[in-house]
Amino acid sequence: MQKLDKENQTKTKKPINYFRRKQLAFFWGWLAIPLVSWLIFYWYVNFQSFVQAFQDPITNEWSLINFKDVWKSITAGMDSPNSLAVGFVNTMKYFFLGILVHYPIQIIFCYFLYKQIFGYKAFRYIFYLPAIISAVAISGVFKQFIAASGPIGELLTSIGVEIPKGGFLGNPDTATNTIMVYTTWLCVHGHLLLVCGAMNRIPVEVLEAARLEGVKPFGELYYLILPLIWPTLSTLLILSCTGILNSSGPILLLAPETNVLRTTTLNYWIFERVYAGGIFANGQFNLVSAMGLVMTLVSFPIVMLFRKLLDYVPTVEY
Amino acid sequence: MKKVKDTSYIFMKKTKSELVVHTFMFVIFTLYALSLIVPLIWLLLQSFHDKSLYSITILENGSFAIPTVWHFENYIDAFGHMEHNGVNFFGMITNSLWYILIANTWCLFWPVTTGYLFAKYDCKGKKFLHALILFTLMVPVVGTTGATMKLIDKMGIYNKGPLFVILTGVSGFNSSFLIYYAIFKGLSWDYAESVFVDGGGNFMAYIYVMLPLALPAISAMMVQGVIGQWNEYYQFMMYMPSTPPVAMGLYFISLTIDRFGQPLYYAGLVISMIPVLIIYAFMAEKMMKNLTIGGLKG
Repeated sequence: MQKLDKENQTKTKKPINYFRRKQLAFFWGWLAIPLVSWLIFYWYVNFQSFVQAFQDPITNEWSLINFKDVWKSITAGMDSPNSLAVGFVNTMKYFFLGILVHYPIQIIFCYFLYKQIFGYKAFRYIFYLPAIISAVAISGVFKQFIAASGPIGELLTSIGVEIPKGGFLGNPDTATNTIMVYTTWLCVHGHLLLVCGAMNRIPVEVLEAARLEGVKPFGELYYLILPLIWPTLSTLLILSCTGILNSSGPILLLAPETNVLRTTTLNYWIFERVYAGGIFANGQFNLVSAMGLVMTLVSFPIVMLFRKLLDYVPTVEY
Repeated sequence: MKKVKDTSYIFMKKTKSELVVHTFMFVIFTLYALSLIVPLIWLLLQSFHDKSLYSITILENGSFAIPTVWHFENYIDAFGHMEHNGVNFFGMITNSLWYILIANTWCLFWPVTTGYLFAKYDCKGKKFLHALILFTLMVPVVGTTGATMKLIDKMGIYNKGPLFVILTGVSGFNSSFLIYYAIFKGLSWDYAESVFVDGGGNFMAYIYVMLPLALPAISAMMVQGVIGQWNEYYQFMMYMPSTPPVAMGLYFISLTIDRFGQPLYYAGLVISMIPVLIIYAFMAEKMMKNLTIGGLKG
């Protein structure tokens, strides 16, 4: 009897193994190409970037010269217009603007769209327009609008506001602030779909119960909606923190003369050094790698800490 | 069949305090909506001005001057006169189109496939690989563009247009992988099993059953992708400067065009917006459908 069972088992095992083998072949077969690509364009590039950071750009010998140059640029101070100190200050400005101003604006706008404010369907489509139209086109129009001869320039002049010399984007005292105004103007569409999507999944019964309890609109937002959409918000916050040192504005499109206008950010500082004519010119790749390594080492603990902090906020299951 | 409406009174009937707040917010919303629409109308008006008299017209009649004679030929001239790196406007549109085509076939296939494999198959090493992918998506890697540029140079694909996109576009583990993973996770495996019962294999189950089932969600992502790709300029500037697409071409034209040709530049901007606005007009509902994200916390 036992022998028979064993025979049956081996009989039934065979097709399962065959099927399993086919599954494995399918899984690894199709995964092979993206895996190779990942190994080259992510792991090899990161490794190479790490190595480059410790290499002298001229002799290719092991050296800390790139880190010394990064340090020099950081300590050059705010007086040197294209220094990393200026870049760092501007990066922090964009980061905190995003977290403290853009996020609340996005949530409030999404809340009223969710609450079906009069004309909400039309508003939803209009608010999403900046995500549709090219940033090149929108920034091009914005530049013309705020120029001295543009509609806003004319309006400001008529009410006695003095347009700075060179225009708002052509003056070092106003350029970064003007880019920040631009990013705030266009911030609503940022997480519109995701936050509205999260709100739309909230069971209506919860809101009905809150109304019976006499909860006011902003109380409803603060005590009910925010905790209920917390998984989405926390993910978006983590993603924002992941890019803390990458925070920037459309500097290339609006005020790229960073050495004059003091508009640089850490991200743009890197871009300028790589883009300086592509591979044929003096792209400062090793310096950029050193800078990137420093930025990664600084921001990684911040991301982890922020993640841990967010864990303390309870998530509501529904 | 009658369409079922959301009749929840919570949205229909407003309390007094809600009415006050909603009225205030309606004013804010209207002003904000106007701030987005008026610049587009202004741009359209400017594109019809006489290019030779533009600066005088603006000086005399103000920046919101409506053209006395509508110069529709500006749009034809925009195609003929606008050029960057020896590529005219037609060439830029062609560059944008091949980029969109490759991105939505070859490049899209890989994250969709990896998403499917990770959502539906189990094997040794998968969990570790999945955790590694999530980790790489979370680590704020900065400053690798220099190393990427060197690699692109070594591979001989710098400035090689479509070849560059094909070779670098096999990115199965980028952030969109998470979205496709979630899409396939939500689909029942029973459909694939019925294929196996009928004698079909894994490939058939994927191509003929699971992929079509996920297509509505994938196509919503595709619409967003097409719009993003039409507006792309960064990748071209960095790695393919000789094949400028529309957005990149217009950026460089804006740096060099003199005031004399401004209406032409505006016409170019309007032309660049038309395809995406048409797509948006027809596909907006699809794009606005609920998108979910989560799971990085904890």
